[in-house]
Amino acid sequence: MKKNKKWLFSSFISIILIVVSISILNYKIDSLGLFGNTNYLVKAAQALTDGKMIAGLKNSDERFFQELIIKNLKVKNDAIAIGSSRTMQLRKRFFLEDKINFFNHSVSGASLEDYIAIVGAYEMIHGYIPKTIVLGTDPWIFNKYSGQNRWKSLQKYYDFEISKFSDEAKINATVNTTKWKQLINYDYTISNIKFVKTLIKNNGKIFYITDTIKIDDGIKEIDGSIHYPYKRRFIKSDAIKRDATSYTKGKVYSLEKYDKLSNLKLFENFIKYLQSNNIKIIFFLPPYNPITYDILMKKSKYHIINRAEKYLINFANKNDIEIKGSYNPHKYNFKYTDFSDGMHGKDKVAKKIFE
Amino acid sequence: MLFNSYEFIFAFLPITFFIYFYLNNKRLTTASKGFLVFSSLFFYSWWNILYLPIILSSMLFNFIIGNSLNKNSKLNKRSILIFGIFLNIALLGYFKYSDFFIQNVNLLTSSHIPTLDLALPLAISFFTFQQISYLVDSYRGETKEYDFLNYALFVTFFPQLIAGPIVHHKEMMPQFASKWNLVKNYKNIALGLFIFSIGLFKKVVIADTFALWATAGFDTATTLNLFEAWATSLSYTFQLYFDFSGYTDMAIGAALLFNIKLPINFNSPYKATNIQDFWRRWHITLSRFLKDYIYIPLGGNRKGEFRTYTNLMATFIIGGLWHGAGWTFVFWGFLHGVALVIHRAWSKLGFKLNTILAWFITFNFINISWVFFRAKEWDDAIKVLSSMFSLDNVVLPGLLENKLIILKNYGIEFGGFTTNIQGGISIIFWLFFGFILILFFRNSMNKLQEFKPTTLNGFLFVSMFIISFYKLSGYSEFLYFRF
Repeated sequence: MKKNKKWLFSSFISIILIVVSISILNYKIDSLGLFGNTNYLVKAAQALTDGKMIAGLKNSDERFFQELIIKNLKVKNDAIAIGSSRTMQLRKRFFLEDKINFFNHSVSGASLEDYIAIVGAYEMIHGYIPKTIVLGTDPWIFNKYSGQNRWKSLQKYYDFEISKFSDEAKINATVNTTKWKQLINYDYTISNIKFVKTLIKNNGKIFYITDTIKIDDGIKEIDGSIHYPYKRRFIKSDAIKRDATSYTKGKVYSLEKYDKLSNLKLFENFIKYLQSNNIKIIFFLPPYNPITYDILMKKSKYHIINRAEKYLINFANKNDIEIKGSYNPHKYNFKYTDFSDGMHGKDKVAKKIFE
Repeated sequence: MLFNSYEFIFAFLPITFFIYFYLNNKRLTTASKGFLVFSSLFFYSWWNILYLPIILSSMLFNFIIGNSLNKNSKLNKRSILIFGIFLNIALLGYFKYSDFFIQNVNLLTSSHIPTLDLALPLAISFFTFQQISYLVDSYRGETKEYDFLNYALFVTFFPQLIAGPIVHHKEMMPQFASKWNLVKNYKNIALGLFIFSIGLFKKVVIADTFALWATAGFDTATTLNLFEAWATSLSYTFQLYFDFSGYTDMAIGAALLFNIKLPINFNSPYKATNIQDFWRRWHITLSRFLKDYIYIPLGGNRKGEFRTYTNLMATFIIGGLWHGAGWTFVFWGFLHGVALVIHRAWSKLGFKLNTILAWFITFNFINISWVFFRAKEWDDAIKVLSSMFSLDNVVLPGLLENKLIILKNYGIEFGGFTTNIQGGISIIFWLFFGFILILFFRNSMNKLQEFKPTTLNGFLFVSMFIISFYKLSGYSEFLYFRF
């Protein structure tokens, strides 16, 4: 009995010590900048807002990074874009004159709350809203089951902004448990180990400044738009075909359990609030790869994509909002090779739509 | 609530454990049992409280029927038993097989009867079978009269409630009634936690890793090359074993904390050298149920060879259907029935195979038949199987291109040999690791018997627990929850 008790005691103590030590290391290394303990993201944000192109920056909390960019802005932005990864390749030169200050704040899997939070960050930090806002409206922003909750990194800006146009009780500021769970997350621990290895290998540098996009790395231009590494940027056509098909297999990204449009009231109130502040709004509907789109349209449950588009067109017409693009790639005669997978258009897609 | 969740490991399990033994310590044994039933129902309702009335009414109904069987005359007993089994099967049939039935009627008659789209109440297949066995045993006079609280604990005891092992009342009731089991036992706690951590490791580290490739191969890939097809089927073969035996280890470990010994459910099944041997090692408590309550009542092997074969086929087709309402499951059961018939006929003729060859045939049969078990549609099964046996689409790793370039003349390609299942070279190591584990390691039940509180076991426990703990953050359900 005593032996078993001793064995249990020493095992528990060992577990506690190991877990605490790893958690402290994860907190201190903080490769994604989740706990605000890293200054490499601050430096990257400063480089961008100083007008330098950066490359090599991977695996960071994109929302936190956008917050840092907004905090470090050196100029007043006239126009911004907010959307998901499907809007990230929208570049200033596609549709704006050179003298206009523009920044693309798109973040992966953006939801309606992200739009509100990023606009809120402008208002809260700088006291203004850029005069033109391009909203990359993906169909899932009206899906309450989209599973997108990453916007919570920007909860304080969301709460600030929503109080300006909604009488509804704001969402109580909850402790972001997802963030704290990273302290005991295997992938985050591995990511931190890799981060330390990269730091050692690159003499303490986790990103670098570049003056050309002709490099095989992930790049962020000074307008916030991105370029993928070569493997994705110059993907072979058979790989596009494969990716476009496999996108429709299993659960389709953020489009499951999507049988009716939700969040409409919040969306409309937000847009009306922006319009009441004389903000010009453009809805950008990024198209799907034609292969993907055609497969999705064969399944009735994904017809909601077209219902979302129809709603956006009606709402835009009624409220004098410019609308660009369509989820349906055939409207622009896009080919599957114009895309890098099932849902991300190459440069030519945004260019053709905005020109 | 999943065994592999923070809520279970750090809240539910310790709270239930401490309150249960606190109440026992205060000699409030009825309250402690009541608390354990309440906790188990809470555990069950965590998924969906709407299922709670179903399990409660099923439990009450079977308790009443069981008691009636203990009291009535032989003639009445038979009618009561038939009535009891009929209602149990009807409940299971309604929730599990209605849509399957409607779909087949629609197909045969070209009608358009709408499906009911019923959600399958969690664990219904398990608690229904468990209670049918209770009724049959009551009919046979093999049960004693127990109070409702003990019966409720027998049905709902949370470690075995969701996915077994399917327990007999006679192996559980005396344990719940024993006063020796009301006291904390540090040996059982150490043993229970050790086995629990093995199960957790099997599930979140091994099974969930294989799950990535199995899911990609079966559900996502449109085409597979030869290696990908074999990697897909083997990944599922390993995933299923480590997932389900991992769950069982956790169940056995959790039960041991309460001094309850659950029956063994797996005994290195992939070491089997014939199909009969496999069924003596795989999901042992289900095999026991099928044998005791279907095969033997049908006549077993007592009515001649032909009837024995028919009984085997019937038992395994029912076993297939128990796993899921689909023709692929029925076909999987049929294949195993056929294999058992062939094995039996073969054995009767007195032939013997070399052990390694026997293992090879048995393992490959099991691996191939799992393809039907896993596939959501016939097309998925055909996709995997046709690629497993086709030499038209052979792709080898790009790094071998220079050494084996001559093979290009025979249509063999080099490059992304695991692209369609989103894998890499690590698949080869994992599959190799999987084979080593199933063939050369002692299983967790052997570990259970040999356990001593040594430094090595302490190191194993801490390492497995820590690694699993860090892998826990994603949601990953056990495969057998859907059956």
